[in-house]
Amino acid sequence: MDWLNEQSRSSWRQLEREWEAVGQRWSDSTADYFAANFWDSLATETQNYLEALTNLATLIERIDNLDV
Amino acid sequence: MAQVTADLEAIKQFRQALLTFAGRMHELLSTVDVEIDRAQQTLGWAEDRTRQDVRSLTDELYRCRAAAAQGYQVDCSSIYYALQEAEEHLGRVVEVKRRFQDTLRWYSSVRNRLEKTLTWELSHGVAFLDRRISALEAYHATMLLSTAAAVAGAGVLGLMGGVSAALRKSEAGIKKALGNTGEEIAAVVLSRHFGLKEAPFTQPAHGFDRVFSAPGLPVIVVESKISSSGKLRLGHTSTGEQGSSDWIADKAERMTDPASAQWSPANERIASLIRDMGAENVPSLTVVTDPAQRTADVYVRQADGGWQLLEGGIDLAEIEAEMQLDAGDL
Repeated sequence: MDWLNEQSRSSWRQLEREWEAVGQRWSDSTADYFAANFWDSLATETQNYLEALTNLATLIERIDNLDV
Repeated sequence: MAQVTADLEAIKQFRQALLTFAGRMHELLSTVDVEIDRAQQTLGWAEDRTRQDVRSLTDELYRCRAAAAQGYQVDCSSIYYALQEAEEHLGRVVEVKRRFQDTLRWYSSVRNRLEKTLTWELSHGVAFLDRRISALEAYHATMLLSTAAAVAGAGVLGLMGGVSAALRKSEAGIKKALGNTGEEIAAVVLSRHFGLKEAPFTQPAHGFDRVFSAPGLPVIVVESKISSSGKLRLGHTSTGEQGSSDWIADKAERMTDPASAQWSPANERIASLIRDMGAENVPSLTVVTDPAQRTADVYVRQADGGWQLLEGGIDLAEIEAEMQLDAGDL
């Protein structure tokens, strides 16, 4: 699960970098509209997901280590 | 115009990054679902196995104590401690199971929200970027028309000056500058000398140089080459020779894929025409410009894949003179 967690975070970090890069070239009112209507909600949902995934990954690791 | 091009490329790149992210996340969500199923199975097996241990140790302890009550000399303490340990382990398994179910409820709710965002909201976001890209492309096209007017003013031989200027550039810049100049000359030759009409086309980094149309021929694919020997030399790629039907089919396929860098609304329309006509039926022309002789040769691809000279030695000075005459009439 750790690799899945890390892969998700890495994909998100990469997209954040792309967002920062495009922000240097695209900063008019259409960029603000895109941020308010699409980017911000994607960012919120992705960050919530990454937090939930971290908790889930910790618990699954504990399950894998249960002495049965 | 450089700023518009930069904005356009930056937004296109971000659009591609968004789609790549969505694709990766969809894959990851599915993989995590598999991991959850596996963990649930592991937990189920752990609980079953531990409950079975507790039951069998309880039975064993009951039989041991019954024997002791009947006066047999037996020591039940080891069974008692084993049972205590199994019950503690069962307690841990049940606690992990309870926490897992709570976490899973939270995770599922967050996961479904993200999946919905990746499926619906992101597609709206990409559609918004597409509209923005189309608007910038339209603006870019308007600017290109202005440039074309300036080129008409400068004349074809002015472009030949561009070839000479390109040759004075650094080695890295030569190829790109020559390619651009060759395309401009090809566009002027085909439109002025052959009366072909240039089609709206978003030129990708690797793809067709230009696309033209003529009455009854909605798509004509054009390659342009600058050759100091005046000879036709086409590049060979993994999908065939430049200008061949396989090469055209491959480029058209990429142009229909929104995840491809070669996609744009205009390119998708061209690709759709190519698919309808069949790549083997799409006329393919190559314009070879000889900067030393100041002439251009136009070749057409034959059904057998060979190239036939359509017209050679087209005098670029004559085309320029015609253009100047037309400009004077205006």
